Amino acid sequence: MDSSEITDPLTSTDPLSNSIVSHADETPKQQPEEEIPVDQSNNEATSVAFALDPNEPPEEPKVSFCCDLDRTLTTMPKTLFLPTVSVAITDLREQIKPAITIEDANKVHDMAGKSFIAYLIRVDIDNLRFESKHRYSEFESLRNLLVHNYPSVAVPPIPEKHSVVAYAAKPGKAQQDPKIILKRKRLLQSFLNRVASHPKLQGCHEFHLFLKGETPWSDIVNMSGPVIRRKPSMAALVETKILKKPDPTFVAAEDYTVRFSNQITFIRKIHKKIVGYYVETAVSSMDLGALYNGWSLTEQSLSEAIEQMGQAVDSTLTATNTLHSVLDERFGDCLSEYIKYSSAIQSLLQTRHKAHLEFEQISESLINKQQQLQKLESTEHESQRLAAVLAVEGQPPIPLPRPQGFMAQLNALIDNDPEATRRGSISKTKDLIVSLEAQRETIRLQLLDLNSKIHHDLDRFQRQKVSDLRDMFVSVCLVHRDYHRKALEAWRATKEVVEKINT
Amino acid sequence: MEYVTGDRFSPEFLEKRRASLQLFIDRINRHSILSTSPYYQKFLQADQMVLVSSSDHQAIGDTVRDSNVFDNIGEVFINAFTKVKTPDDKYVEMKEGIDKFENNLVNIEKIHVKMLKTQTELGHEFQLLGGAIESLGKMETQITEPLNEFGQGLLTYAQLFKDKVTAEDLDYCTGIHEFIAYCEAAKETLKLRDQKQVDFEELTRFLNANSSERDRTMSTGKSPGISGFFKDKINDFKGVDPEKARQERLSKLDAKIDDLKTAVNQSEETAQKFSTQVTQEFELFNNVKLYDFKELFRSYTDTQLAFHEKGAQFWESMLNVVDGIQIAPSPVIQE
Repeated sequence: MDSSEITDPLTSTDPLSNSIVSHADETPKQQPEEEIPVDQSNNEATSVAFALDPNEPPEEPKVSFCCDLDRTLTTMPKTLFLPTVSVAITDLREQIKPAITIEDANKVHDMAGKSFIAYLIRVDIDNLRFESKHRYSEFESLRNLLVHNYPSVAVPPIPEKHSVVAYAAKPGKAQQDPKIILKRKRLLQSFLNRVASHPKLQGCHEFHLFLKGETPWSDIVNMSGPVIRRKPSMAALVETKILKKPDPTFVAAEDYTVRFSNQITFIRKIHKKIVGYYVETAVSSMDLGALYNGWSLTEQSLSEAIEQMGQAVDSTLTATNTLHSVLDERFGDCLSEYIKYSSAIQSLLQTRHKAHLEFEQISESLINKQQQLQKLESTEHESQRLAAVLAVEGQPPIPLPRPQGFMAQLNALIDNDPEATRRGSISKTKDLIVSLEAQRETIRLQLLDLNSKIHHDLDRFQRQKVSDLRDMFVSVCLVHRDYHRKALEAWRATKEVVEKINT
Repeated sequence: MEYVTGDRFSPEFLEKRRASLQLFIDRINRHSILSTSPYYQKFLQADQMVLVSSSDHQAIGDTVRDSNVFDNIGEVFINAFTKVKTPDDKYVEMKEGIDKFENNLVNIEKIHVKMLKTQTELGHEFQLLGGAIESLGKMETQITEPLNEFGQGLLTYAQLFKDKVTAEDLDYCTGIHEFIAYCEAAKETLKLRDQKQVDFEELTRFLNANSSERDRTMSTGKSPGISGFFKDKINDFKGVDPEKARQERLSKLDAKIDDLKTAVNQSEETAQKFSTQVTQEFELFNNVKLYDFKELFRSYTDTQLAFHEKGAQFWESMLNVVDGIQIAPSPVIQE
């Protein structure tokens, strides 16, 4: 193998090909700062990083199913679980609902007297109908299971466990605040539908059992064998070594994820401020409407007009309230989801990075051993040649030239028969090399498989993301248009009354 | 307040002041008496910035400042502490009406100013959002165009807020602010009318006091009060002829009474003229109120209509843009 050729170390089976894959400036960059009004980071990575290479072998279709739900989930189109927002339906609350819905969130008391919120889940696909009740911790456990069992997939996020802000405001009651519960309901529903529509995750049998609701979750978990219950440790992220020959597509993917996450975080900050200002406007409108109404009572000829002004203010107030709450549901929620989703992808890429590191390390070990073997063999060859020469000249064999290196010297001192030792080392090293080669090959194939799976998942993720972006922005347009239309109607009525003032 | 804390020369401030002054001039023009005032005429013709001087007063033939001995005393001393003795319900109602109206205006102005601030902030946020979405478009290569268009569009939406806030501030808020000042001016006039009535009442009281003193002098010949008692004693002592003293006192009182009668008549006439004028002014005030507020409400409503109409149109157009956010479907899986 020509070492000057640029080859992918993963596809070449020759560990000695220390070819360096060239890539421009795709070295892992420092995390850009959070507040970037204009994209000033050096990070140039784009969504191209998530695109599938046309040469990438396609994923194999599923052939075996574990249960009826599995079969149904596989055959159903994605839009059943993730319906797109229709521009024709003006009222966002009338939009099509997904197949899996969380209908209710009720306070429940368990045996020990502690209370928690139980979410009622309804599945309605084709001829299959299921109902189940689960609490937040069970969702968390399900997600951990998915992360563990599907290491090549970015698992959809669930809402955070405790909102720090809510805790600070009213500790203990945080889980019971109705607004927080509603938000959780929406986000958990989204989680279930995303899992159900994912070609890999939808096959998880524990997920099917979760939805069917016949078996308690604790039983399901025990059945599936020992599972890591804790969240995958994030501490490992900090200390990862840099790869010697990083894969440029994954470096780009990592950079792009960071860039995207920052941008979405920034957009969400703006969204929160906008909603805040709408809330402020609503509060002022309430006071203003009351003022106008009171004022109209003290006037005669202006009374009707003033009252009508008050009416218009009240109508606009109602419209504003609808506006900001729907915005939060359809825009804010999705932004939060994608921030967490980006974290999940970063985790995934981190796992892959570690696997790649492992491959490099074992390759290096192999190279070391091979070099060791070379040295040993050349020494052996030398001594044999010398012995042959001496034998021809009829002289008794003389000791070999002094071995190099401290350990070798030490060995030479205590060693009675350096030659036998050496021959022993040679055969041991040869054995080790064989096993290392086998290991390396296994890891290499695993890594190739992992890379391919991840590529496919990133591509799938990107497509869904674009669809979600569309839905988000369509919702923003619809709800704002609706708001303006309602306000327009109210003020038109007022104008009529004002024009009638007799001066 | 802005004059003190803000920029006295900023275009926004100047524009507001211009609008306020315009309202002021408009009101004068509509007033039959004020618009024909020689002061006003001079003001309009002035090609130099001069203050009205005393010589101008004489040149114009200022007859307003007629002398009335009790005018100054009344206004400075008596009226400062005296309230109208027989208040006319009509004028009390007028004052209360204006007070209520003004109060409402003050509260409404406050809230409107607050809302305008919030809307300015909203406009700013939409500007930021537009930029952020454009940046997002740069990294999402499959949908760069629609995101770009949407982001740019949001900048124009942000402008709508700016336009609305400017128009509302200039027309409605300024108008309300100026009308509050007008209410204050109307109340001042009512106060002056009260003062004229107080003048009349006080003079009448004084006249009556003197008349009764005269009558008493006629009948008893003694001076009233403790000091009168001592005065008589001193006169006795001095050897003044009591009858002569009485005659003197009577003639002095008569003279005073005559003076007072004239003053009282004058003051009554003034008070009545003032009251009539005030009634007319109040009617004018109400007409102006009706006219002004029709204009104010109309301009406010128009601003809202413009904002919401353009807003609805904007989001409708953006709907088509964002509907186009999509990637080409997955390539067919080749086996």
